Amino acid sequence: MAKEDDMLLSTIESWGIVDVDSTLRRFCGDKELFVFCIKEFAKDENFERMKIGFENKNYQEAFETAHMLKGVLVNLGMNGIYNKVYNLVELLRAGKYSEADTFKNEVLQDFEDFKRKAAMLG
Amino acid sequence: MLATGKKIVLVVDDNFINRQIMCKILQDDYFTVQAANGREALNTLYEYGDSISAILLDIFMPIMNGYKFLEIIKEDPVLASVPIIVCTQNETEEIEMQALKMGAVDFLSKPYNPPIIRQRIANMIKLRETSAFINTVERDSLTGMYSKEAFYARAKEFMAKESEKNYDFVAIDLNDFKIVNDMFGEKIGDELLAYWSKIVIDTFGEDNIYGRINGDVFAVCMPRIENYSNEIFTQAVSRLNSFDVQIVLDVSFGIYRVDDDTIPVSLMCDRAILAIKNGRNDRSKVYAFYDEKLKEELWNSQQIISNMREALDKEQFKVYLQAKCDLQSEKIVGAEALIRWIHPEKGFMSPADFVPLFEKNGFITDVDLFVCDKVCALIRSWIDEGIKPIPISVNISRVDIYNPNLKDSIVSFVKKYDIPVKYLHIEITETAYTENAKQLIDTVIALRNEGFHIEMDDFGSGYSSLNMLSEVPVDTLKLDMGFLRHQTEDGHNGNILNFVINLAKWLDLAVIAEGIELKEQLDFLKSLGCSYGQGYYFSKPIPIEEFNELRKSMEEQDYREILALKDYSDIKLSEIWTGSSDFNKIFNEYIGALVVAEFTKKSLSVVRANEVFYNLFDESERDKISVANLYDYMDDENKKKLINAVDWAAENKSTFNITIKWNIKGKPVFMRERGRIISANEERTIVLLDVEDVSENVKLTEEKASFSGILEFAIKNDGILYFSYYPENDIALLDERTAEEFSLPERLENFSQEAVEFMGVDRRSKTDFEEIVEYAKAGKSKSPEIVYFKNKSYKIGVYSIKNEETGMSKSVFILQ
Repeated sequence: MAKEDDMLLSTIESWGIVDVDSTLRRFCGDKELFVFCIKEFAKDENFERMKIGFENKNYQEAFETAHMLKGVLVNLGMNGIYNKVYNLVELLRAGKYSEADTFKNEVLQDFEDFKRKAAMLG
Repeated sequence: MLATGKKIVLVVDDNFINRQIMCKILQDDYFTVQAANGREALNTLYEYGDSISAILLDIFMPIMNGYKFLEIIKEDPVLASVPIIVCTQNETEEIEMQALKMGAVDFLSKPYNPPIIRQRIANMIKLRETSAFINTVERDSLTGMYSKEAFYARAKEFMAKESEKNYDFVAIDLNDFKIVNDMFGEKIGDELLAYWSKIVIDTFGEDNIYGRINGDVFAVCMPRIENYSNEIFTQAVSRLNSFDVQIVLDVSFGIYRVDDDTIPVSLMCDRAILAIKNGRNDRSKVYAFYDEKLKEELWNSQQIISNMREALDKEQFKVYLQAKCDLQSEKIVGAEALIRWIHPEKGFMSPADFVPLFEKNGFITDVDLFVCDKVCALIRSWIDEGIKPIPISVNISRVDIYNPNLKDSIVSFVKKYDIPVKYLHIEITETAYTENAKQLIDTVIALRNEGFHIEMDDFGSGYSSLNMLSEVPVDTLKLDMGFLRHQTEDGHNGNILNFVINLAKWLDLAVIAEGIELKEQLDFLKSLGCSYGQGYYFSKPIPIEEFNELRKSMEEQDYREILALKDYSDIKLSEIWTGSSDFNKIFNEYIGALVVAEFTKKSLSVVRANEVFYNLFDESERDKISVANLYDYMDDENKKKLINAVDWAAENKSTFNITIKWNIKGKPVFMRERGRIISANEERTIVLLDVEDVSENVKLTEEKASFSGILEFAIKNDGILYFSYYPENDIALLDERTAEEFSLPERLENFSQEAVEFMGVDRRSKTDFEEIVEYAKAGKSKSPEIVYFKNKSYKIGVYSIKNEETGMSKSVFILQ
């Protein structure tokens, strides 16, 4: 099991979107839990809810879901996407919806990329 | 803390991954419990109580967010002490400030840093425990038992020493202790508690752990007793009653058999206290056990508390109205507003299930103000729709009187809806007096100064002190249903009812009897001279829409109100001369004395009067009255007083209400004149006067007297004798029972001279009794004393009040 986790962690590290070392410290070295959480996060329904929020111009919904994703992203050490979502949240908080609408495409694309990679973890 | 020695931390976050990470970080040092939103967190807290050492709280969550959670926790005295650390993610300063203001003690920001998180939590927990320790005074100086917090700590140690044994908690409540304190003073009260604590320790054994949980509740933690015999408890109570106070002392016992040693000791103790409630429901039991039913009740209570705010926001609470009726005409004269909770899932919820809980956590104030708002809105809508408003009373909980903004809040509703203040009556309960007399008096005076009519609810429900009536300036007494419930079976209660109604008349207070269900009760109350009532006989509490329909179907008949409300120009002079239309109807059917009078500087003459007015006078005077100058019946001072009132009312287009002393056949007769100007010019003023002979019933000012306890005694012991005494004429008027008891006629002249002989006072009490009579003769009150008669003894007190206008006094002797 431990070997398998090591392998999966190497795979995650190879994506270049998760800061594995510092995040593993946050997980008190629990590799299994770390991998489990990455897999779980890829299934998080807030991605879809945020997307629908933008499609329906429901910016409150978009804000709430983005805010929630932001907290998890930073805890999982996904700093690149976190920074983008951080900016997206601030745009929405400031009511700059057209800018947010444009910017969200980049964020959604990153999420799709992450989900695709995570699906390969099994 | 758990048996493992680990402290418990509650992690509240809607995101599963964040919770997992946090729990992982804490797992070596703490036992963690999780909740996905504020509501789940509340339920967990109610389950674990203050054994939770810290809470880590996310702010943005669905169902119930972190702010709401903080708001609710802040109101709970026990849970408010649990430190809450808010988890943020580089939020705005505004959000962080808001959380701090609402009671959060610190922040943790994401991404989580395990060593910092562990250290901050450890710091917070230590700080809390240190302050809790400082607040713990080990021993109660009065009883020598442990104080509450120390008891919990020692009981925990006690059970841990031999953890394989089973244990019981026994809670002991000395009932009516407040009355002992009030009647005999705090010194005696303290002595009683010390005496009782020794009996308790003697009863259960010195090796156990004893605590004084609050004023009159003790608790014992001891090894399990498999079979409790009634004697253990009855013997203790019997010993208690050898303490020298002249009331029967009663004690309630509740037992919790510790079946779950993971729960906090405070909760074990609470369960024993809860069991007391179980015992009170069944009088045949000396003691009662905590059982699953109680646990279920507790669970239901918690559900109610966690739903209450949402229920108020979503208007699940509804205002129902119960009609108040004139007992003679059986017409509606007012209503009482009552709160009802129509729960979307549970349906109609009994107020008995939620009002006591709301009183405990203070939420009742929000509910009472909600009712106030709705009632004022209703009165406004009546006025707007041309429906004659009637006064509606709202209940102000005993908890509300501690709210310094109460008066301003109520006044703000009256202003918001721009309604006359007279339509909003305020009901307060007498129990508030026992808890904080000064606060109640101040609140009532403040409300009265704003013009609110005050009704004393539940009068006679337990305490009913005459002192209270002299100190709390109320307008109406509402008699508790308990008086009525047994009156048909038990003559004594009828007698007390009679006494209270007479007392109210004596003090010029209106009386509303509550809980009238049967025609027999109505007739009985009418025979006692009670004027108003409410109860299922007339109508149960019903929704506002139904009440409006009820009003339509029951023609209201309160001519006093009609007269008071009629517009200045409404009554046409021609109607008065011709006696037509509704004015004529009012005039002839009005139950009081009405007269239309013409005022000039020199004369006051009758234009028209109804029969009741003429009946105020002797037959020989009646013929003269219709043609007389009524000023001839008054001295100059009273004549001037009346003219001034009429002039003022004419100028201000208002009404007046004064008491004038008339001299009829050389005797002073006090008439209360309530007047309304019909027309006025420079020479003459036509006034409609509602006249009442109040010689025996004018507004009386009581002399303060130390008279605590008489009525309490009477109600508690189910018996009372009393008679009135008039010092001016030295006449005593005995009620039927007293006359029978002493084999005396109902009227005794030269009473003060011959009282000792009349009543057969034993020589031992001659001086004491003469002293009591002397007090009455001087218009003073005197606390009760034992007086011995030939073959019986009574505790006799005298209660006197003085008419501020005449200087005349009258007294009531009360024998118990």
